Amino acid sequence: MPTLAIDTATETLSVALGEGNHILADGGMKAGRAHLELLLPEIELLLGRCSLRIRDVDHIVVGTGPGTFSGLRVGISTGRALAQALDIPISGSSSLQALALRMAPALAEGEDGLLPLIDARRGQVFTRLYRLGDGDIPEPASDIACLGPEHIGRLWATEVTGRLLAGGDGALAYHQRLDDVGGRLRLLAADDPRNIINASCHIRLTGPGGAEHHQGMDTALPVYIREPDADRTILLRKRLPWLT
Amino acid sequence: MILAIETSCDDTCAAVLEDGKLLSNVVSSQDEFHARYGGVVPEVASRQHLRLVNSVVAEALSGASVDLGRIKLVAVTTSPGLIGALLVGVATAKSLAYASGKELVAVNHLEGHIAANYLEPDPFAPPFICLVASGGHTSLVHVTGHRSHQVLGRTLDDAAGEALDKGARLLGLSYPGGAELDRLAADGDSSFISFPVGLDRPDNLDFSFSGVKTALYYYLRDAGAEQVKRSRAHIAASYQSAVVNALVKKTMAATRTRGCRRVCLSGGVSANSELRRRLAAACEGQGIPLRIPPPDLCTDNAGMIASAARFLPSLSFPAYLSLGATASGGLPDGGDGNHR
Ligand SMILES: [Zn+2]
Repeated sequence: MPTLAIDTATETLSVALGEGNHILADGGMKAGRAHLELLLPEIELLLGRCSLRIRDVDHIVVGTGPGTFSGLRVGISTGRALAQALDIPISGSSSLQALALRMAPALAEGEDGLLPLIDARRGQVFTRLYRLGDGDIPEPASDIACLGPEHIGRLWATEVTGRLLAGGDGALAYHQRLDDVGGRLRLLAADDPRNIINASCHIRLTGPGGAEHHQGMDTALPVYIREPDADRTILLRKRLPWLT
Repeated sequence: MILAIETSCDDTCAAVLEDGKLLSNVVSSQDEFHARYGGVVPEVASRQHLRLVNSVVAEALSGASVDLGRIKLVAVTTSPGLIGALLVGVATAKSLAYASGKELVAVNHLEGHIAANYLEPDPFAPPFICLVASGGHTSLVHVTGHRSHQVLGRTLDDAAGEALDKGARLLGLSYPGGAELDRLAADGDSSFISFPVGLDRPDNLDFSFSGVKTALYYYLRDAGAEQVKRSRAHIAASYQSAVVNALVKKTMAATRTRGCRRVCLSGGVSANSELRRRLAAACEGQGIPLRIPPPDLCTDNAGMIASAARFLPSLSFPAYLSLGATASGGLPDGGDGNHR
């Protein structure tokens, strides 16, 4: 019975179907800001390619970010409502860890740390240090941070001894400003597809021998990291934007 | 049977409707979260919707003693509203419909407010003049059929409820203020200060409340603390009266210009006692029947969205999969449809 995985943490939406650790199919596209319009048609297309219907799915995994808030909200509310309607379990899975897992096969000799970078907009990235654990699953070796790409070296200068591999849409967006951690950071090539999160990584992470994770609606909520920006966006009660 | 979801602003709502009768109507208010900030913070609202929407839907279903299998249609507000808030409701509604094999109806929020009038036990049929006044919208609509309406006037700046809330804030009342302003005004003399009424011409059915708000600001600034303290109730009554005056005058003008002798009031501001009193008196004076749905159907709720959905075309699979949400969007014009 298949698991449906969804990731909408970045501008690229990604969906995948798998059973256990076996990936049946994946799909996705650059969605920009149109996750809401594109996600369900993409899921339906994916199921069709496997001759499956949505009712055949028996587990949902959603990428919980961190990432763009509206993208995450679309992917996560879609996953939650599908799980609710189908009465099947749902799991939240870290989008940073999925990106780290995607990048891991690119690790070169002497590199022992993975630095997935997700574009946080406003000149910042979400990131977290990962090291490969059992079964080549990246395990977190730091807290999640949201910071300017020029500061990443300062964050891990003391913890990191070996060389690091960085990638992700945050690396692509800010490669010119990215601190090189004392010359020990290597970037994935700009055209390397492993810069893009693939939802199939969530199936690996939540499948047999995967990462530590939990099931339930409470786990399927966005990891925001940033507090709501109240100062700039307060509206008086029910004052809606089409009036101004 | 219709399951409706409404998340256009700061209340997470779901309802189940059968043959025009509400079996459940759940509203999970976020007021306590937003009171801390002194207004609705869109990002806070969106986060709360995502946390609450599934349990609100579950509560609406169990409150109606049905499961999703018995639902025929899923309805959802797709515009207008806060975009981050709307998309949680739309993604949820689409996914529920998709996973359970239902059709979907996209509803405009203002159409919902109007359709509050069509609910049992006392449905009120078109044609009528409908004043929708809330903290987010102020529209005067000629409702000619269940699916056809013409917007006669709308606010050019603040919504009526927003104007009341802002006045309350200037008077030092705590958020959301409108209700407290109403209470304070009850002890005041509304002729104490003559505040201006915006766009006060009988041929203009649009509203403007920025003038009266500015007038209050300057009055409070120039009157001095002692004077303000002594006459707070009078100031509140005068200010509220100016806002209500515009609403009543233009609603009555609409009945004359359209030759339509039925009036409905909807939206959160219908809870304002001065508006209820004055509109009732004006309608009675003209022999015009006035209808105001109960308060829980006037404020934002999903019951009114379900009610509107009865008269709207539904989208079938797979057309609705690519449905989006829009922050801005007026009432769609449409021919009169058949009762579902
Ligand atoms: Zn409303």
